[in-house]
Amino acid sequence: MHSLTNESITMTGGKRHGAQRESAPPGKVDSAAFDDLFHQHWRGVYSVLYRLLGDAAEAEDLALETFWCYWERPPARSDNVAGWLYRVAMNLGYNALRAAHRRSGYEARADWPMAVDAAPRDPAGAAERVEARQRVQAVLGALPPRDAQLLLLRHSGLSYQEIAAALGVAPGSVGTLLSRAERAFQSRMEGLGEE
Amino acid sequence: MSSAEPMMNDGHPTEGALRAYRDEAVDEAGRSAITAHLAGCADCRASLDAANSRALVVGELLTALGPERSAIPGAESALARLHERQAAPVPEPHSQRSHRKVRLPIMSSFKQWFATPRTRRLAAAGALVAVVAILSAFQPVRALADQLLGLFRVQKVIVLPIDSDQLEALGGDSALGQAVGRLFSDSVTVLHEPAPSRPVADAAEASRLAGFEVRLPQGAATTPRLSVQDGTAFEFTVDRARAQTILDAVGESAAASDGSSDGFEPSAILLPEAIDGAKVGVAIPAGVSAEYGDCASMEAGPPSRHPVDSVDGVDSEDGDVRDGGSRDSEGLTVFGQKVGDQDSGSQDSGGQAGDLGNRAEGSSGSRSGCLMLAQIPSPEVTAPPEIDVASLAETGLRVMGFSPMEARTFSHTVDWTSTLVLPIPRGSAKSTALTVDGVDGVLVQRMGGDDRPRKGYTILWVKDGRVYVVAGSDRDTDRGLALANSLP
Repeated sequence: MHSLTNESITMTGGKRHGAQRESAPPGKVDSAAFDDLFHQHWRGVYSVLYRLLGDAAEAEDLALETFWCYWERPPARSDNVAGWLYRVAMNLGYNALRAAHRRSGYEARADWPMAVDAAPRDPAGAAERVEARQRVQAVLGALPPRDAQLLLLRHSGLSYQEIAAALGVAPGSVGTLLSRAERAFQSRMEGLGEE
Repeated sequence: MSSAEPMMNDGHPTEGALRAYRDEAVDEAGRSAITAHLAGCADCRASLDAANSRALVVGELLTALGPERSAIPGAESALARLHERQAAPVPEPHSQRSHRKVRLPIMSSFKQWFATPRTRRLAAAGALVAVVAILSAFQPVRALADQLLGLFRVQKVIVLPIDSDQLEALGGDSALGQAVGRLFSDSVTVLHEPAPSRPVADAAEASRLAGFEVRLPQGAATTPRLSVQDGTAFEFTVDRARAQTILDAVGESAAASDGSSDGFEPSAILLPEAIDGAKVGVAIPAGVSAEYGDCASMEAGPPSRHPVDSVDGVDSEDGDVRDGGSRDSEGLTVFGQKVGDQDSGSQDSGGQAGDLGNRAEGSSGSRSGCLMLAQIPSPEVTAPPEIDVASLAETGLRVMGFSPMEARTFSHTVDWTSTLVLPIPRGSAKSTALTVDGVDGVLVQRMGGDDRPRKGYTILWVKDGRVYVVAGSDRDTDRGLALANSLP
């Protein structure tokens, strides 16, 4: 796997100066372009956060926060905006999760905050769905964060390039990492089913 | 799929290549090669089928997490909310306004950390900041003491036992150590150079100069010697390529020593591209310290340069102890300042045992040791939003000698945006959770080779956004605790 590291350096193309970043004032993003970007990625960013957090209100807040970050402090490079947005969203989401973990106790690692429908129309079916969702979220919560993020992003439709940018891995390694993550996910799901 | 990873293994496509092939994420040449291979290889076709069905199953389960399309808030209304926010004036001052602002440290969860078996070896308490994680990660113990945490002196609030041997190996004159030194040497800009600490007459003056209401024990017979330490601010720019070079070297040595038994590939530690060129800012407010008892015999050293030798215990500073008779009193440093290291004008108070000194049990008789109370509002660190502090912290912990699993577990359970971690050498310091000033705190004691406390301890806690430290030059921790608990 050493080649991954080297690859990544090459792809980065060396040092980029911080001054660039600093000189970019908040709001330098063109307003119309920003709106387009928002329309293009809003559903995706919201959905990933919703899957991660299982809470509609929090997902909406953090999705908005993600775009706010872009508005305030856009990335220096614009060649993979989606990757950047999802990276920020994941950071925000995981921060929220960690905060929730601390509130609910350190040992409850697999105990992700669960989504419960406020007013289920079909109580029995809703309970079942909630239970199924809880299992999936518990398994995601027990996976290494990068694996969980990989699964969430890929199965939300992100390209390998976007995933690579969002997670800071080499594009060439996404297939391998994804494959491993899916194996791990599946075996944990099966383990849960047998209990 | 790029050529970053070999697509073929023993003449067959790797599982990753097949997975990417399935997602049509392989370039044209690779695609043709795999297609051709599949035509003649039943095993690989079976692998592809398995990968495909696994992807479908996982995809289905994740899709079931929702949200239903109809439940996704409309982009228009969401955008309207954002526009409102964009139109609102930005209240934050100067250049930090576009940064994420984090407050630290929050140490309310010390007890859990210490009580949790899973993290006992880590035994960290309190908090750690992105920058500290990054920086301390790359610094050998001595450099930590001499350079790095010198900049970060106020943030040494947390306790993280680390293997000093490991860090020694990284430091010094080794090529790696030198690379580490260069990593940050050019990139730090001091925005506000702190003025020397200055003695003040009373609490009112201290409060005025420091900009916050200083808390001092009530009813103490002894008036403490007070001094105000100026605040500081600095920023640095991250150079990803340089940092990655170091990580590669570390990854290789880690791979050699622990392999990847827990499924973690050490050499796959990659710093995100987003980090390159990122500016991280640190602002440390002014603080106030109050000395009680006999602090005159303590070593006087330059303030704000050697903040961790207190817990290091092996620092060369030991040789410079001024009073040969009190060698054991070396090394307690608080907020970059030796206990008792005040302006020379304050060193005439030898033997002055305070009321507090006798309150606890008077175990040290009339020669009560030095006791110092320091308080400072929480420092602030700003970093660009795309930086994932936890993964950087994980990287840093790896460099500090933690196993991949420990590093991951720890880094992803701590809220790095609000936590400041203080590395202490495993074996020569011990930390204990306690309740102090009505909140959770931690006691750090220097330990001798016989596993008994040596002279010198520190009690740390955070209350109402202010960091407090009580440091004693002896072993009488009850006395320090009494001081802490007598705050109004």
